[in-house]
Amino acid sequence: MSVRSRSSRHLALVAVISAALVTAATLGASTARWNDELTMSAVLNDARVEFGVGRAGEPLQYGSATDRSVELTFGAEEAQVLLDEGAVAVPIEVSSLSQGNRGLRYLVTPPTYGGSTIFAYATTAIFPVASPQECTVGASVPAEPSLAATPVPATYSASAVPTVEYWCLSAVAGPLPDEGLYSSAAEGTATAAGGGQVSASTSWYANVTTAMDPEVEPDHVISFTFETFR
Amino acid sequence: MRRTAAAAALGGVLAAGVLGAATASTTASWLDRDDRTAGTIVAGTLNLEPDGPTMWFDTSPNLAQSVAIEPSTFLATPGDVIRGGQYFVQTTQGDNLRSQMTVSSSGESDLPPGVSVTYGLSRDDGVPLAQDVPLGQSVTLPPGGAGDGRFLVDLRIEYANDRTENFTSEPSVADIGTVEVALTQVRPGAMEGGA
Repeated sequence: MSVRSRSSRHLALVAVISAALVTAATLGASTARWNDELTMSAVLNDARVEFGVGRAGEPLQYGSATDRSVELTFGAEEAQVLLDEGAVAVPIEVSSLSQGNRGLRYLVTPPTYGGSTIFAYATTAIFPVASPQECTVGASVPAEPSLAATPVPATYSASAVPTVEYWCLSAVAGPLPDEGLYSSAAEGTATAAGGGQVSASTSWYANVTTAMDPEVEPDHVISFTFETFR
Repeated sequence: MRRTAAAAALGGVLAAGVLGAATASTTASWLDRDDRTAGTIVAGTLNLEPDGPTMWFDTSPNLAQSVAIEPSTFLATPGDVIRGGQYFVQTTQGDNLRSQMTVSSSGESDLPPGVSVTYGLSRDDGVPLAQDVPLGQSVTLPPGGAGDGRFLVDLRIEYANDRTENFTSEPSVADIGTVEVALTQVRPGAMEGGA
C-alpha cells in the first residue's frame, strides 16, 4: 500500500504513509516489514528590486545589481530655453520597488556646473514635487530641500507596484559674464570764435548680448544613487 | 499479537496427532480433533503521523519577533532567515517491532547561489537529536534510539547578506527539494548490534 499526496506546489507537508507488508506465514512463522515516511518541502521566490529614473512621461533608465546609480542628463536643449525664456523647469520621475524585508532609499546629487557653462550662471535647484505639473518655472523652491528620499520602508512588502516620486530641476537665468549694458557719454565745452562759450554733450548705450552658445552647452548630470536596507 | 497468532497456529498442529506405529501384528491409527476458532494475526504498527501543519516563520535578524509566513507567497531578500517546523509523532506497537529513524533530503533540491539550507531533529522536550545538518546529507539514529513520542523537524533556510538582489521580472527560486523522515523496521538483532 502506498499513499502519497501533495497539498500544494510550494508548501507541501506531505504525509506519506506507505506500508509494505510481506507476510509469509507458515504455521506460525511470519515476517513483516514496515516503514513509514513523512516529508517536507518548500519553494521560495526571490523578492524584486527596481529603481528607475527619467524625465516625467518618458521611458526610465533602471539601475541594476551592479550599478546602483542612475544618471539623468540635461544640457543644450535646456540651456537654449534658459537663454530664450530666462528660466527652465524639468520634471523628473523616480520609480522605486523593493519587495520583501528590505526597504529602498536614494540620494540625489546635483550636477557640478563648469565655470563656462550657461547653467553655471543660473540659479538652480532640485527639489521634490507632488506631481510633474507642479514643476514649473514659477514654482516656489524650498529653502533647503532635502536631497534624500526613502520611498520604500523596510517593512515586509509583497507589492509589485512601484512607488513613484517626482523631482523638479529649476533654473533661473542669471547675468552672464559677457552680457550687459554698455553706455557712454561725452560732453564738450569750447569758446566760440565770438568769445562765447559753447558746449555740447551726447550719450549712447548698447545692450551687449552673450556670445555663449547653448548648442555647445555640455551635458550636466544629476545622479540618483540608491540602496536597499533592513 | 504475533504471539497469540503463533499460539493458535501451533494449537492446530498440536491438536492433530498422527501416530503411526508399526508392529508386526498391529496397526493403529489415532485421530483427535478439536475445532477452535482460528486466531487472528495482527501485525504490529509503526506510525509516523504529522502533528499539526508545517509552520513557517520569517526569523530574519531585523525582526523584533518571528512572523508566520506562507512560503509560496513569501518574497525572500538577502539576509533573510526562514525556518520551517513540523511536529510528528512516532508510535511503535508490537512485539519485537523496533524502528530506526532516518532524516534525509532528496537530491532534487535547486538552491541558487547564496542560499543554504540546514535541518535538525529534536525531541518534543527540546533535546536535539541532530543539528545543522546540511541539505543533501542524511542522519540515521541508532535503531530504537529515538523511541516513541513527539519530535520536531526544523528546517532553516538562510539567504546570505551579500547575495545578489533580484532585479529581473523572473525571480530565482529556491527549491529545497524534499526532506524526509523515515521509520524503518529493524530486527532485534540489528538493535543489539547497533546497525
